[in-house]
Amino acid sequence: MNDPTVSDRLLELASQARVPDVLTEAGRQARFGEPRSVQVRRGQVWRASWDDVSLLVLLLDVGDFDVTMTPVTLDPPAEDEHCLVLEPRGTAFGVPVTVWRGLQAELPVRVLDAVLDQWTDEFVNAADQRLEADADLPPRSRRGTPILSEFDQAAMVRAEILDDLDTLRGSPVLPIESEGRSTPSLVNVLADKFSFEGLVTALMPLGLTQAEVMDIVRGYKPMTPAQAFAVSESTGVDHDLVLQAVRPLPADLVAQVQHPRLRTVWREHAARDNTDEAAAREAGAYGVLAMAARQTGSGPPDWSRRIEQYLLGSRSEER
Amino acid sequence: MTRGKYPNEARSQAFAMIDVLEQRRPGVVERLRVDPLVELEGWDDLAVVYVDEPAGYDRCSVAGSYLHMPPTLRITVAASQRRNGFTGLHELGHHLQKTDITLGGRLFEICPHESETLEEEACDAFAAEILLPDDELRPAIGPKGPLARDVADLFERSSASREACCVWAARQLQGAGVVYLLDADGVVQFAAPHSFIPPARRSDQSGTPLIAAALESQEGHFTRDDTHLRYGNGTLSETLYGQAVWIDQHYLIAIAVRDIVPWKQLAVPRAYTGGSQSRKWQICEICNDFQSDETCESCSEPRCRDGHCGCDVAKARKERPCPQCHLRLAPSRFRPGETVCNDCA
Repeated sequence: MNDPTVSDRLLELASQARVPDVLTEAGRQARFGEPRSVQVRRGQVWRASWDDVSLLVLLLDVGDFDVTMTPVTLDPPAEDEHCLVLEPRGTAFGVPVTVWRGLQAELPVRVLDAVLDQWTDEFVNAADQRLEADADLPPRSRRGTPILSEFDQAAMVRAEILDDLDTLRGSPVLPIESEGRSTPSLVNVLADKFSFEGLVTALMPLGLTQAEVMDIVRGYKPMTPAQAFAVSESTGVDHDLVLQAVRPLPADLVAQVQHPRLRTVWREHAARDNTDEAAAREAGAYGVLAMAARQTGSGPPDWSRRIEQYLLGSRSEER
Repeated sequence: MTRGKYPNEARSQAFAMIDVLEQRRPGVVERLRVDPLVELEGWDDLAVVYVDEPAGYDRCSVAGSYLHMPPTLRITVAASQRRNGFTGLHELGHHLQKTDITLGGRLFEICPHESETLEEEACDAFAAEILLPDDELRPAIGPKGPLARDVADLFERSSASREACCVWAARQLQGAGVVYLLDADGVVQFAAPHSFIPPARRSDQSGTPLIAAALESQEGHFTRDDTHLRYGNGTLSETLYGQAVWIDQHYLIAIAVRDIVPWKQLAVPRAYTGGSQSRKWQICEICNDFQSDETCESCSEPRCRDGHCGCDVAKARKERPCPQCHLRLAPSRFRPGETVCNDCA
């Protein structure tokens, strides 16, 4: 038998490095359903990402705005004495997995990007430092070995994880309503200088419609510095005061708008509007808030339905 | 958002909206009255989008919405075409108020801090006025108000939903009473009050004298001088004069009134006949809604359907207005002896 050529060897290596089927988009959809309907649960492994930072995390607790997680790495092999190392057969990744139990912390839900795997309770409990499950490690797992030197590659991996967590936590937040804190509306700020017709006259030259001016007056639309300057110029009211007249968003709305199921949507909007994900999400949140909706029955606003209707409207706009 | 705070202002705004609409498209009001959706679908400056009710949601929790860029009326498809029509007209009301500077300006002029509430109410009043114009319909009923048969006729002649017809009829009552819509089992689907506490939606009225008589025959119309309403907590209203009529064998429209009875020459209210001695009716001081069976654990006061309890009332009582920013704020936001708040001082 002849020796394989270099290209054959490379092809063979490439096929070995192939992403397991369960991790492809189709595989993940088969396991977890449509991305728009996915639920965030304990025991799931997610890719968390913001800008150019990306990190795998195992979810241990899920709240409306934050999750408790522990970072997970696949490559390069690295571990410390707090880590739990799982054998290739135990997870969907098909390679050894390091769970950095010592770095357990909270992360905002808004950075969760794609669900990749769901681990068994046995693994999750062992990975959850709070449960002190170390005494009885599950089969196909072992405890990590200590980092012996600060020049060890594992020390660098650990430091990079910490940096990535900082970046993810620093992703832009949306302003949320809080009890007892009131934001003055533009009507309040302008007081006796308020004139709707005057505002329309001042803002229409900047390309705003009457409906958009109404949204600004009601605090449903953040003003750009240029718009605030125009309002300030026409009324004589301080520019900074004018800029502050934007109401924060209801917490329930923020929880839904920043749910991972809508990340793809905001990224599409960002690409369409030539902006970034954070700006697209903020515009979407305020768009939903400003949308005139006829809701039947009493009770709080049905934000899910309003978001659905807003997105339907956005899609019709694209057509 | 509390509805019904600005009935007169909303009605006057609705008339102004109709004027603007007629200026833009002469003769359009008549066409909208016949079939609002067919008319709206033909407009080239406005899109009408129908949205299916997704599974898992309460039916029609958001019946419609308006997006201004590009102008789009979105209607969640309901079983009733008439209801869809009302939703379409309501959203058209938003379009008018957001594209006519005089209409938009009036909202902020009348109530600068609650312009949105007025806008919503004006949309309802506008849709109702298009479908059921007061001036044209009032001559068809007697001076004491509508009979049950009048409401059924109104439904047959107009494009308005059964619910809208009940609302219109209740507005025409001269005395205190309720116009309510029931299904073929005698369960309330909708109730429009006039100075009277209405029965709750989904409350069973099949045991009341008027509705029991109607259910027995399943057709025609009925009159009783000794009926009452059964409330959600099991209590009965005082004795009322009642009339009911079947429409299309699936629904009953009923009127129950305390006095000034449209079908009687003379009818006086019967005092002390209510069955609710065991429990006092309460009205929420925040939103004027009726109480539910829930009680707040902190203040032990009943909690209304909007979630207000004694805690909110106490908080609202303590708040006072700042004359500069016009916000109502808690006392902690003012320095002792100051009338303006800390932010404005």
